[in-house]
Amino acid sequence: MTAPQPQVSSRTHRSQSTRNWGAFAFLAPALLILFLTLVLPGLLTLGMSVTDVSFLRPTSFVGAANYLKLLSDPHFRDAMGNTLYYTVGVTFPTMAVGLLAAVALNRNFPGRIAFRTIFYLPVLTSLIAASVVWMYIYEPYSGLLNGVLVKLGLDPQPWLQSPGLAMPALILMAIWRDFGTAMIIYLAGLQDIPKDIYEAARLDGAGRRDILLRITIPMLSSVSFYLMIILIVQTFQVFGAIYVMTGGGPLGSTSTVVFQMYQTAFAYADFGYAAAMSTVLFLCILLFSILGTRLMPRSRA
Amino acid sequence: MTTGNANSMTGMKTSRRRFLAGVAAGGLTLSVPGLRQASAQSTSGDLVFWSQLAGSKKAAGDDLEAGFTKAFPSIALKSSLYADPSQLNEKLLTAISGNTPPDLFVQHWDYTLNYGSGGKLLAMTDTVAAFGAGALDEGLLAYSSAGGPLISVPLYGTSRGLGFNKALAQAAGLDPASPPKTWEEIRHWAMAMTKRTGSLLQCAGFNLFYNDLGSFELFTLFLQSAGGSMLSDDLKAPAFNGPAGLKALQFLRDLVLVDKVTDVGFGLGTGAAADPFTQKRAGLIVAGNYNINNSLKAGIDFGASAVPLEKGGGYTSYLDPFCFAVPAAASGRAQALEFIKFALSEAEQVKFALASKNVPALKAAQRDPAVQADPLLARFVEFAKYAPTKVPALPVYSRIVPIVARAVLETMYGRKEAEAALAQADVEVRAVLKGA
Amino acid sequence: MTGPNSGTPLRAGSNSSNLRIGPILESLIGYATLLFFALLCIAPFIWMIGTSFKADAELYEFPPSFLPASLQWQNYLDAIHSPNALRQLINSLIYACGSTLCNLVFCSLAGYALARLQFPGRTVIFAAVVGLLMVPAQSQIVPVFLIVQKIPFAGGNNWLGQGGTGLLNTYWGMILPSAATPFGIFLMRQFFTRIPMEYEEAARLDGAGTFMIFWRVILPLARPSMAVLGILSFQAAWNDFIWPLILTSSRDMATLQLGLQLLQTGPDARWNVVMAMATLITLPVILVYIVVQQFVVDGGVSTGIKG
Repeated sequence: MTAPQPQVSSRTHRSQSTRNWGAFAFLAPALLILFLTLVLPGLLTLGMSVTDVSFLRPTSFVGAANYLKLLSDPHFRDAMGNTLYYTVGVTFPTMAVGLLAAVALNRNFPGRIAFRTIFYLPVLTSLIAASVVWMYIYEPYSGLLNGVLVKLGLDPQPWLQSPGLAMPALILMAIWRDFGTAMIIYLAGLQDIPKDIYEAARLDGAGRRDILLRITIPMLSSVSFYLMIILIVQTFQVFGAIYVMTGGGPLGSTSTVVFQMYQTAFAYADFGYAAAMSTVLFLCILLFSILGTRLMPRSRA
Repeated sequence: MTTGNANSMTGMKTSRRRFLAGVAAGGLTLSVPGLRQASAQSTSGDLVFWSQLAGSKKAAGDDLEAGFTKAFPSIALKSSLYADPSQLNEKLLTAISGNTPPDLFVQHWDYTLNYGSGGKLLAMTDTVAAFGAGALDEGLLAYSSAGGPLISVPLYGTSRGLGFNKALAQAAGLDPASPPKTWEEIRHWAMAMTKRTGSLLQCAGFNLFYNDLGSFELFTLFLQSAGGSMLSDDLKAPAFNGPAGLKALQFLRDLVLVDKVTDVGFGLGTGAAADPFTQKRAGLIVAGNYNINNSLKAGIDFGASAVPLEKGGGYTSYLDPFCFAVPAAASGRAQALEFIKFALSEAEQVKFALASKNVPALKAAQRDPAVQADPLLARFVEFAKYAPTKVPALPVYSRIVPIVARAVLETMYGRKEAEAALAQADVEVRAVLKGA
Repeated sequence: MTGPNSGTPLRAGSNSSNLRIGPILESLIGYATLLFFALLCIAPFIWMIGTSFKADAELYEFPPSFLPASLQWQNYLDAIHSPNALRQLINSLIYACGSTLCNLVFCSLAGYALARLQFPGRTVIFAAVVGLLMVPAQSQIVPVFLIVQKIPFAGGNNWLGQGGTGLLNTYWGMILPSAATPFGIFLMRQFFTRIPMEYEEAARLDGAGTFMIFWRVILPLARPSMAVLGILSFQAAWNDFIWPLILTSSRDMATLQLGLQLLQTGPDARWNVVMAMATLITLPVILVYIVVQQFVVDGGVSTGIKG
C-alpha cells in the first residue's frame, strides 16, 4: 500500500498540489465496496424499474409504465404523505430536543457524564429490541403508558390501534431513539464556539435566552445543517419500526414509502414496480437535501 | 357444500390439469423420470428444508424432523425455521431469484401458488397420485394448483370456527354447551360477555379486530354465512360486493359501533402476545387451530363451535392449507420427496396433528381414533368440512387480502359506509384479477 | 478535541462570583428538570429490565406494575436456552466486529485520500460519496443479494460468478455490504481535513512516504474519530436485521436479532422472555459504548462533522 512519492514536491508546494496517484491505492478498497453494494445495485434497480421483473415469471420491458402507474396510485400518494409526516415529525423535534440537552450538559457540574450517558443510551438499542419494548409500552391494557395515564386520572388511549395516534406514537419512539445522536453532535459543535463571544455578550448584558437565540443557535447552523440532512435521509427510509410494530396499519396510516416498496417487492413479488418506487424515493431524498441546502444559505458561512 | 361435490370437482379438474401439465409444464415432463429413478434407489445426501413451523407448531415440527433424521440416517437434514409465512416468503423470493432455493419448504398456499405460477416449482401430480386416489383431503389439495399441474402437497390445514372462553360465557349467564346457532345468537353472546368499567373495556364480547389476514377471514366467514362468496365461480371477478357482503359487513360494523361489543382497534397488534383472548379479555373470537395450543397454554377453558349460517340451519368455514413444495432448481429433490412421503405417512400425520392441533392432510389421519378423541382437534377437523368446495386458488390471492381487509377495517373503524368501502374494494380487486 | 472539562460554562459568571440563593435555586431546578428527562429517557430500559424479571402472571395486570414482584431469573435461562442462542451470539459478534474492523480500515484510508491527497477526480469522487449517502438501502436488498451471490471464485463460482452460491451464507457476504459506508468515509474525511498540515510536513521532511505518514502520524491523531466510527459501525451491524435475514439460510448463520424476532412473533411469545432476550442483546452495545465513550463525546464526533 505504500505509495512512494517525490519528496521534493511536498517541500516546494505547501498544500501538496502534486498529483498523487498513490491516492487511488488508498481509495480502491472502499470504492470497490461502494461500487458493489451501492452503485451497481442502484443501477440494477434503475434497470429493474422499467421492467415487470418478478423473478418468478419471464421478464419483459415495460418502459415508463411503472412510473406512470405510480403517478396515479392513491396508496403511493398516501405513503408519500405518511413519509413526509414522519420525516418532519421526527427531524425537527429531534434537533430541538438534542440541542436543549446539549446546551444543558455543556458545562461543568457533578453528574454531567452520567446524564450524558443516559441520554445517549436509547441510541444504542437495537431497532428490534426498542420496537418490542415500545410495543409493550404502548400496549393499551397492560402497557406502561396507559398505566401512567390512568394513575394520573386520564383516559387510556389505543396508541398503535388508532389511525390518528399510531404515527405520533412511532414518531415519539424515533425521537427517543435519535435525540442522543443530535445531542452528541451539538455538544461537539458547542465546544468549538469561541468563549470570548459569550463573554462579550454577557458584558453587554445579554440574558441566557438571548445568548441561546442570538449566539448559540446561529453559531451551530452548520452543525444543524449536517444533522438535518442525516435525519432527513434516515427518516425518509424508515422501515424497521413499522415492520415490527404496526405493519403499516391501522388503515394504512403508518404505511411509508419504504414499507410499501418492501411489500410490493416481497409480498407481491412485483420487483419492477418496487424498483420504480425506490428510484422515486431516491430523487425525493436528493430533492429534499438540496432544498435543505438552499434554505440554509447562511449556514455555510 | 358436501364432500361428494368436492370429489367430483377435483376429479374433473385433475384431468384438465393432466392435459395442461403435458402441454405447458416443462418441469413435470422433465421431473417424472428423475422421480422414478430417485425413489428406486436408497436416497442419501443433503436435504435443505425451510419451514414456518414456529410457534404453536414448533414442537410438532421438531418431532417430525427428529423422526425423519432417525428413519433416514443417510440423509443430512438441514432445516431453517422462520417466524411466519411472510418472513419465509422473503427468503424464498430472494433464494429463487438467486437460484439458491432449498430442496423443500412448507409454506402458506397462496405464496406457493405464486412461486408455481412461473414454473419455479416441481410438479407434484405423481407424488400425490402415489398416495392413492382420495388419500389426501380434497379441500386442502384444491389449493395446490391454480388450474395447472399440482405444484404442492398439503401437510396440514387450519380451519375456522367460533372460539369462546367457557368460563366467561358461564359468568355471563350463557350455556357453553349450546353455542350460537344464528347471527342473532352471536350478537346476544357478544353483548352478554362484554364487560366495561366506566369507559375502559375490560373484556370484549366478540374480538373483531385482527390484522389484514384475520380481518379478511372474519369478513369471508360472515359473507359466506350470509350466502355470498368472495369471487365469482370462474374466479375472474369479485363477488363480495353484493347484498350478502353488505349484510355481513353491516352486521360486523354494528357489533362494534352500535352494540359496542368491543372497542375500535381493540386487540390489534403484531405478535400473539397482544392477543386479548389468551389474556381472558375476549369472549368470542374467530378461531383457528392455532388458538387451541395457545389457549391451553394460557389456561383458558376453550370452547369451539362452527360458524353458523345467518339464520341457522348450517355452518360455514374457511380453510388455510400449508403445503410442501420442491423448487424446480432443487438438487436434493429425491431427499425432499422422501421427506414428503415420510411426513404424510399415517403415523406421522397423526403425531403431527396431535402435537400441533392442526387438521392433517391425510384423510386416514383425520379419522384416526386418537385424533377424534382429542375434543378440540376433532372439532376443527369437522369445521374443515364446512368450507366451500369452490376454492379461490389464485396466485394473486395475497393481493386481494389487503384490499378487502382495508374495506372491512375502514367500515368497522367507522371511517366509511359499508357500501362505499365494498364498492372501492370491488374496483381494486377487479383490477388485480384483470392484471393476473 | 479537548478534554472533558473544557465545556463552555454558560453560567460561569454566576457560578463563581456570587453565592446568593437565586443561582442555587436555579441549579436545583436545573437538576430536577434534567433528572425528570433522564427518567423519561431510561423508563423504557427500566420497563424492559423490570418486565424481564416478571412472572408470567404479572404480565397482564392492569394497571401494570413498573417493577417485578420478585426476580424471575428463569426468564433469562429460557432466553439463553432458546434454540441456537449461543451460536447466534457468536455470529452476531463476528458480524459486528468484522464490519467494524473493515469500516475502520477502509473508511480511514479513503477518507485520508479524499482529505489530504491531490489526485484527478477528487472532487467528483467526494461528491459521489455524498450522493451515495442518499441511496435508500432498503430497496437495494435484492440487487445486493444477487451481486453477493455472483462474486467470482467464491462458493463454487467460476470467474464469471456463475455456478455456485458466491458469498451467500458466509461471514464475508454478511460483512461486505457494510464493510465501507459513505457515512464512514465522509466522517473520516471531515476529520482529516481538520488536522493541521504541520504534522505531515514535519514527517515528510523526515523522509516518510504517504502510507507511513498516514499510519504513523495521522492515524494516531484520529483515535477519537475512529472511536466514533467504530461504535457506529458496531452498533449498526449488531442491530442489523434485514440483511442477515435475507443472506443467511442456515440456522448456523443466524444472528441474535433474528433470534429475538423469532422469539417475539411466535403465537406463544412471552413478553418476559422476549424482554430478557432484548436486555441481553442491548447490553453488549452499551458496554462497548461505556468503554469508548470519552472518545465519542469529547473529541470525536465534533471533528467529523464540521467542514
